[in-house]
Amino acid sequence: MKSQNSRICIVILINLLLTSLIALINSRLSVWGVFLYLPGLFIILSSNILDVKNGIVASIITGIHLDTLLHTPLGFHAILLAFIFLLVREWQENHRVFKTWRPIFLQIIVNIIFFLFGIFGY
Amino acid sequence: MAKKSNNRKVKPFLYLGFFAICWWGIPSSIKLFTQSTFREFQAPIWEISSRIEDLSNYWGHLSDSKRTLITKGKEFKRLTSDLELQKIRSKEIVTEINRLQNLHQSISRLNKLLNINSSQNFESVIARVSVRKMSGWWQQMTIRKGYNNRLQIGNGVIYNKGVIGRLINVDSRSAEIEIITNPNFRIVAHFGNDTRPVTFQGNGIDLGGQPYGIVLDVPYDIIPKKGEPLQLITSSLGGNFPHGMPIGNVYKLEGAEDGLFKTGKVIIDRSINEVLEVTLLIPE
Repeated sequence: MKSQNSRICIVILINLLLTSLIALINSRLSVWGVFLYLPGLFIILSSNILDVKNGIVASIITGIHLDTLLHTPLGFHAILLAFIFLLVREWQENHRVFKTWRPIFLQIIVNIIFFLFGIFGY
Repeated sequence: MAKKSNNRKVKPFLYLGFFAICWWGIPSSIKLFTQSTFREFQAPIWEISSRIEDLSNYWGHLSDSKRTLITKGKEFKRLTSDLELQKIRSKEIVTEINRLQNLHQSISRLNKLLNINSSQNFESVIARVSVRKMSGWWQQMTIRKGYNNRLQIGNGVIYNKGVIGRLINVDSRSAEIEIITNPNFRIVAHFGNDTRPVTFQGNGIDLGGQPYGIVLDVPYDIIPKKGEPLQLITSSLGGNFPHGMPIGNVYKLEGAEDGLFKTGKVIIDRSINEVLEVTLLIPE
């Protein structure tokens, strides 16, 4: 239990740090009209080291952080991240054999899902 | 056994669905409070990063080579001699200022006589940009000043090339600017030599980084000449900007769907993507 608590704290901290770093990189890239939108990055770590309950909490907190940062309706990233976290975890439980391409593939799929939601939502 | 396992799998989704419904029903005041708390939490990160950047620039100059220092010294000497010339010119400027002040007074007198409100005055506050968020869908900037500096939601924001946006969120030590390219940004505008109001709306940033907007409700007799774009400027009708601040250029106008007015693409200066400092206009 104690280990899970410290894990969720570390995951949330890493996610917040990553979000801030991406925002700073985007701030620089704006000169060339490029914007990195990578919510998929926050799924893999949570799904690998957190249990379902803690993973949902971490996804919701990270999602709210993203919503505030990107000015999306509060809850959009929070709920969608938590939902995709559950799907990815479920998928990982059914496919236990590790393959190097899997996390990359998953991230690309998750980013595309968010991108499509973004396009149709706005 | 299989049913039990399925229940275990479905449970988290049900809980999340329940959470989503609860979230949807939460009063917007609580959501606004949460959002504001997260924004206040993020603000120091942007401020620190922006200050570190300033500091690294400063340290970068500290380690300038002798050759760079000699070049800078030469530039400094040139500027000093230019300053001497400017001092001589200042007498002429003082006379000009007096003349303009007299004119301003007579305009105010005439306005009073005609019962017209004199144009609104603004106090300017300079702020550093801490982070730019320029995605294809929404464009914002965060600055290092907030309501501690008397900023308010809706204040107009300008930079050396014209209008940049208006404040949409103001926290204690930071504020967010909605950039003119944001599709939610809409203001009254005028064309350079025309007094009739038109509507300007943001429309995003191209993949190459070209910011643009659209102009709506343009009267049919306004036609841009080839090679001579029409300059779109702000109107004082909105109240957030003074009259005449540049917004962008219009090269082409097309008939709108209603058949009564024309519409066109407004090309905004690219430097909007790399602004480091902005001026906030606080109505007096």
